[in-house]
Amino acid sequence: MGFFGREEKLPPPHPRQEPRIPLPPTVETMSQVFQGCADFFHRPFYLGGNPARQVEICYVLGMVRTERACDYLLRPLAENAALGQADLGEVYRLLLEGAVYTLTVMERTTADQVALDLAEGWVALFFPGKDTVLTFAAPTEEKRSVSPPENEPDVKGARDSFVETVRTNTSMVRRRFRAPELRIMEVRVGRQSLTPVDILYVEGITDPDLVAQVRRQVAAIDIDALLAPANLEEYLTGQSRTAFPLVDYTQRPDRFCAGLAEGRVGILADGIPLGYLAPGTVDRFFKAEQDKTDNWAMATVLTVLRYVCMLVTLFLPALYVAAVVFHPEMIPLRLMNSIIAAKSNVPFSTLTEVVVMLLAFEVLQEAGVRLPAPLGQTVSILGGLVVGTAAVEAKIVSPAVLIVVAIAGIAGYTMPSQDFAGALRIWRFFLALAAGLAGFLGLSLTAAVLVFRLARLESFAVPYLTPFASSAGVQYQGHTVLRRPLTRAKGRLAYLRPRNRRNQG
Amino acid sequence: MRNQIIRRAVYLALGLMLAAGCAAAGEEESRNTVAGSSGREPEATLLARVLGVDYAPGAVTVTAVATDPAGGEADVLLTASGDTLAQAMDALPTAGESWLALTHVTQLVLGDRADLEEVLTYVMNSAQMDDTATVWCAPVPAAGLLEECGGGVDRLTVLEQKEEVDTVTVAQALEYWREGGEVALPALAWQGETLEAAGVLLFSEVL
Repeated sequence: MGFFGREEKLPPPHPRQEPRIPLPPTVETMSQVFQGCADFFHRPFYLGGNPARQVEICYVLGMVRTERACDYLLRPLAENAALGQADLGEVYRLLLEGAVYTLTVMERTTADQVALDLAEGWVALFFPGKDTVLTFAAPTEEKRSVSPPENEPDVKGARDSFVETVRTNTSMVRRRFRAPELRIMEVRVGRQSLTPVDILYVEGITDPDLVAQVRRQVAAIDIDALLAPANLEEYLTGQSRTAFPLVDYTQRPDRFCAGLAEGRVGILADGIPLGYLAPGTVDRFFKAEQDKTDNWAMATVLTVLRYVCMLVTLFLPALYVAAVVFHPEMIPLRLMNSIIAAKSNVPFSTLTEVVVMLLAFEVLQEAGVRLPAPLGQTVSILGGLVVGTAAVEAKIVSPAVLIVVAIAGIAGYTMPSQDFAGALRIWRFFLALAAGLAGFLGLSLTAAVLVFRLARLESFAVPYLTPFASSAGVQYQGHTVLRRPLTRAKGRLAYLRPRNRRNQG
Repeated sequence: MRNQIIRRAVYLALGLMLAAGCAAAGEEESRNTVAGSSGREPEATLLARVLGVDYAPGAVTVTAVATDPAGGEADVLLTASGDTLAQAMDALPTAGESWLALTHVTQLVLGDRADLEEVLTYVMNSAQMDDTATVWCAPVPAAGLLEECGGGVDRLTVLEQKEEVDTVTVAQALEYWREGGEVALPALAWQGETLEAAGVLLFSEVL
């Protein structure tokens, strides 16, 4: 039974049709598959200018880089007299072994393969009477140029970020990770989108069981199309009952490579300008790449600050409600008198004030994300003035509540991970409501529930609260809360079960 | 399935604990019971600073002095009576227009006939009141003294900082009483137009 009515009974998943195109790989088949598509073209072509040596080429306009196809494929086919004189079997062999100027030539045996190649910008060459097809890579390279990361700025670090093209992203990884042990496996995800998803790991460092688990999870994703990051994140972890992220993501190739070097498995998906790292434990979401570029003391201070801000953003509104309403003895007299005086003539209860202000904060934030840039600044000022100043002067909220909510909100922005910050924003509502219900008892019990839920989470068989829990009394190397100098952090993280525990001499 | 049952049992237990709260046994209203709604909005609360206790045959009178949160000059005096100290204290929070909270009482004034041990024990056991409050005594009824000086909140704060005044907290006084059977408390007197410290008064079991 659903919440709003009877739960709709969905039909069982359609069985995968293998092969998708149960026809031979011919021009007629491709014409049938791409019937009605305005960008699909096919034409006859004379090899070496000889009408007796006719082949058919097919391509999808817009996906093929026309000048490359013309200069490096069609021109040698037309101008090479030897191709016009040899028999078709010999021509086939010559083309397969490099008679044209393309890096990649593939021999395709099924209509599925040919159709996929055409959709990816390859040119298909059909020989009469032959049941195999040659496809030549000539895709267009229109893509967004590499730009600085918008959400992970750094003062001293690199300025490049991932783009939507997976091959460009893997090239950025290769530029930093020149070891030939870097492996890149590809899996197609999405019945309609057939999105290439690359799984990266380092042979000899990464735990093979972890790699196998990630590959299984990716291969098990059975959806229509992989178009949004949530498609990958939610299906990858398989846990939908938590707001907390279970895989780390980054826009920065340097951070991605650092994760690979630690022994994590990386995932890059075409169309998504992010790199994912598995497993994702809670300490990952408090680390920023600038921690490695800054001095270890500064990095430690900033990390401690983030943890403190996490506690502030989560608990401050609830602490305020609990202390003011249930436990005024905790508040110094002058502050309490000030709160009492400020709250006189405010018609709402403290809990209502806090919840309304938290909601207003969320609305402002969401509006700021959706607004076009020219309007954003104006609305931010307006929102701040209206919500902040006018609401206080009109005695709709008290100044103390405004300050508390503002501090909690700003503290939340120190989280390097927006997903983690979002989960904290959800839970602070629950904590505030519980505090309004039963003071510190409610706050404590709800915090216990939160810790209980976090302790139950796992990311690829690694407990989420690692390394704060399940360390078996062993001091973790590297950077959890306090960052050691890099010269003294000689071991990889044990919970990743790397094949090689030491990361330096 | 078993894990699911365990998880739901844990959530149910936590929820029941939340609903039941941790009611303190025996005495004043618990601050943590949901059913009792013991939370108070701050604008509906007055904070008592000084508490005076007077004993008369068959009656106990308590007098509380609260400052105006808006910063007005006049202190608010509230009085409640009962057959016993506990009854008088129970009646005190609702003696005025706003709820009177005793969480910020810093001065305790015992009148000439106050039962020292009973008063100190009550304050020590109270969930609201702080045992670091300074204890004064007066050779006259505390209610009259506090009324005459208009509350005396600020004056008492000044007096307890004087070097010649040896202040004693509730916890210290009760400790001296229980261990030695006597305690010397600083005395107050209305002299001229101001409240002054007037030496000490010795409370003794023998007496």
